[in-house]
Amino acid sequence: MTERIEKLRTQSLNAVNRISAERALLITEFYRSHESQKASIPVQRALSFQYIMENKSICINDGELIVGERGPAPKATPTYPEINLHSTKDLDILNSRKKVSFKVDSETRKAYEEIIIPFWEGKTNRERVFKNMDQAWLDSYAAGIFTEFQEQRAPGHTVLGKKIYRQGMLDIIDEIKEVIAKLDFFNDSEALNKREELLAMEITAKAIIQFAERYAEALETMADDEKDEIRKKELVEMAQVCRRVPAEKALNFHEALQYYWFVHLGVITEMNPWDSFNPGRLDQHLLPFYKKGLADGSLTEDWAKELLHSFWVKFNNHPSPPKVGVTAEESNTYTDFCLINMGGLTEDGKDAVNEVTYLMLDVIEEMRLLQPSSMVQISKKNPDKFVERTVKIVKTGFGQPSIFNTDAIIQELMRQGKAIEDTRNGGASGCVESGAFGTEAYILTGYFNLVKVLEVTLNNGVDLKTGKLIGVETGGSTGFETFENLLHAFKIQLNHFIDIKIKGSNVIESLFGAHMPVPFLSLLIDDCIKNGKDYNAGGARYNTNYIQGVGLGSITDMLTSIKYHIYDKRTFSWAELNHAIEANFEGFDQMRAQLVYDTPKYGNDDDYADEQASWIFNAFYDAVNGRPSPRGANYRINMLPTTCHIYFGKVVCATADGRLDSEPLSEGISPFQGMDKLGPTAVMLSATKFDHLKTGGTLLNQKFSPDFFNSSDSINKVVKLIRSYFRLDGHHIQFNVVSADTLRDAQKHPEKYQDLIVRVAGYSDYFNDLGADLQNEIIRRTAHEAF
Amino acid sequence: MSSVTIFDIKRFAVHDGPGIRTTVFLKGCPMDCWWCHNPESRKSAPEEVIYKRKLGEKEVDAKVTYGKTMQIHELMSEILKDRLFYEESDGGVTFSGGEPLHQPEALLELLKQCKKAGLHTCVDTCGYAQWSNFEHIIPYTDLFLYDLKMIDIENHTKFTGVKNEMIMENLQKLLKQKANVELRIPVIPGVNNSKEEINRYKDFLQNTVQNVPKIHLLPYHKIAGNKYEKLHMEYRMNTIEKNNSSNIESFRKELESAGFVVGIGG
Repeated sequence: MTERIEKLRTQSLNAVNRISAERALLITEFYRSHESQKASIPVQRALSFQYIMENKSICINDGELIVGERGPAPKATPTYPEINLHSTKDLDILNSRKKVSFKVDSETRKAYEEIIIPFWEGKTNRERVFKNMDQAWLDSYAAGIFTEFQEQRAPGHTVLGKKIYRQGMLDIIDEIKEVIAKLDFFNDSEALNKREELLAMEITAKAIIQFAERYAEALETMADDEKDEIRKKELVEMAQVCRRVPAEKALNFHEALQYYWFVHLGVITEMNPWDSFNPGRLDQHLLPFYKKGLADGSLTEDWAKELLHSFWVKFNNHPSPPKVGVTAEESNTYTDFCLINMGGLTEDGKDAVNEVTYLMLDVIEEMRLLQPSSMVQISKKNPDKFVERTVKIVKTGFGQPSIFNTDAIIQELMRQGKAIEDTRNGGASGCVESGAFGTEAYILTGYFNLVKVLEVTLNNGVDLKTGKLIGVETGGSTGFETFENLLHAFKIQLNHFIDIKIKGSNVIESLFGAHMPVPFLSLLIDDCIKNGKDYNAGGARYNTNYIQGVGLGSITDMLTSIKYHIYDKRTFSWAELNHAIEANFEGFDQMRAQLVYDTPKYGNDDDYADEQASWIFNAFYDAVNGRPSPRGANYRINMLPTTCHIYFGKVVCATADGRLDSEPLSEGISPFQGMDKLGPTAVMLSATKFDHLKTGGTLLNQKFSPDFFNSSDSINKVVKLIRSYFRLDGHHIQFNVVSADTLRDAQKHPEKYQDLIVRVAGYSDYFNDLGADLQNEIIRRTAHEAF
Repeated sequence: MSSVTIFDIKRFAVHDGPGIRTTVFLKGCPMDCWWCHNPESRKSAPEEVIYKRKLGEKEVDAKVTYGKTMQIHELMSEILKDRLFYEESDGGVTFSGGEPLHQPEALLELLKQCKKAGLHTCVDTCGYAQWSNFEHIIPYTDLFLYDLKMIDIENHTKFTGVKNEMIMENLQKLLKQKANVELRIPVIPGVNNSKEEINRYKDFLQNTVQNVPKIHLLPYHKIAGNKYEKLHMEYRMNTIEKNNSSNIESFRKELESAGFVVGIGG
């Protein structure tokens, strides 16, 4: 790492996360203006984007090679009052809370008080969303049956494909004009809407070019004043890069990265789309530029690396925008889930691992940054050397890169009806979500609390925490004469709540489609231009909505306990168990020990328990899969929690698996923390008894103690372990390589572990930034010590 | 013989032979090593123990039975569960103990069935068994992990409860028959790592044994004496642990200087 990169990296690590009112003020100014009232909604949105890009401040950090910040400085984070409006109380909490805080200076607070809040109150999309939800939805939401992603952020969740490496914005504008010229106002009833959308796209394309030119001008001025000859030359070159891209298509490695970065800023400034927007298959996109640069002598390996380093720092400068309605305890994360993909297959199905892949792996190991996150796609066609290199980074213990099965992802996407080339151009994003990069709008709609649905089932439709009837009255636990009766009732409740969830998501989707188009993002994703339709309204080639199931391990163990102790062995009766649950097992130690220790558990390759996992998985799949949405998407399932297993645990009382009231649920498809006793092969076999290919992603976390990796022989065995899991069609696996002792010590002495990054669930985070319950949960996950 | 008594099955065993393996621990051992990591393996019959198990901060009494007698076919289906992992990693199954040859007929049957199923087989042995029992399993054993705990006969008797002549003879016979052997020396500080003992190893391996295979030095891990406590057994290593340290590297250098191929760890 060169000195300047070291400095940029340190600057990024030390930058204080703060709220910047700049974007909020600009958009308020724009919407107050007379001009804004005359245009159609998409054109309004486009003009507001243009207004922001014309007026937001320019930030060029010392020594950097890739330029552009979303806010006025690194980690100065904008807000999106048209989506969700922070109250002054929100700002105060963000400013003062201990974890994941955002500083709010008095000027920002004042701007909110005097200008932003008065204008946006009553007009935000969040208010629009809640106004349109019915009582059943509100009750289920309050009970913690599900969450709703689009309540605070816009539906993003997509990844860029190859387009920008082949076309400049001027080419794209030509494309737009061509589609406008061909609009059929005689037969196409949508023609006018399409024209407005396309005009909006054109405005945003021009806006991003203007934005780059502002950077070019600033760089030229800086070059004029620069005394250092080397830096002066760099600044001149950087200005030339910004003059060319994104207007023209990139001609070299540097331009390709800078082009992407401008586009990235455009997407996350236009709106606050849910996580993950990133360059996707970066090693594939950069390869031709890399090869060409080395061949014509304009690029060296070291210079390519330095550019990548500089590029990496940019991601870390951009924390996830903070939520509204926050509490001091709810810490969330600074991570915004940009997951850069490496490896996998080429469009024509060949091994895609290349020189840039290894270069990027070096960069990841050296940078050790929270953002961007990174993952490797491993196909059976990729070499072991690639997997070994990955495991060697994993063993350094900061949770990156995560490891994915390309062959599974391709089959998942093809099962949903996508063309094979599009699936091979895809990968995983966010935590573990499969998608066709550049061609798909795949929206996560929210987490779904499978465990809570079982609790409601056992209590005749009543929420045990509040006593409120929220489900269907299918009879209580004592009335289920057989285990099958219970399963039958569960299915009724499950369908009931999935209906509520999907109805709500459909309404929200329509609201975004009508009121919150994203013409800039739509420029980038095929086939929005061709269809003359916005990304949020179904313009993409493929449209998918996901519901993420949470608590599979927990609900499996609960059902297994019930089956084993109540129906099969008759160890105790429903009345006894209910009594113990009501008492949160206080005074029922023996019973709880039996539930914890003397019961078959998911994660041990024991069919008695794993049968329940498959049943639940299939029931969830049947309830969701294939259901249509207004924009033409189909609902699908995936199994990932991010940190929601903590929140979902808080709304569930003590459970039949011996878990206490409010404790976290299991995460992803991992066994309940500490319940897997037979090692990783048994976990993998349990976790593949249901069909991952029917999902859009599953998440399996395993923890290894650092000692395990101390020989090359062990590393090789981990490589084979991964290959085996992928032969079983496992979708994703991630390893936490840090000892429980280290984590316990870090809890006691956070000051000594400020750089300790751990794998949470589908992403990594600073251990110190996690809430105590999440910290404890991570410590409890079984470590596979040196066997 | 259709049943076998085991005390544990460890999946994803990565130190008991090549690749990813399942190690089956057979119960019962003719030796009585002071440092034994598996005191529950000694007795041939299952034994019941009362202990405390944790529930958060609380402790609850529980019974556990060390060891269970299984039908061979039941054990085989357990072994075959990880077949895909063996295939992918060139791994297989390892029979350990206790001393697996302490149940010679069951072991033979298991090995035969494993070979029939196409699995790579290892036998982890202390060497203290009738030669005829070795002879029977040679055709079905791909690799012997053969412990050579001590050369000095008096110390051997003191620390393991048996003399070592049979162990040394069996080793030579195995090598003569071209069986695939990996020698293992558990380096026990204060027991078998003195200069004199290392010289005795060198002397024995150079002058008596032909075709010496690769030698693995196994580091000694202090194990929590609580297993012994649970079983109401005396842990005799306490005083020795206190007064000695392991210097496995110098052990390795000595053997390497004598021309042997030496690795550390399983």
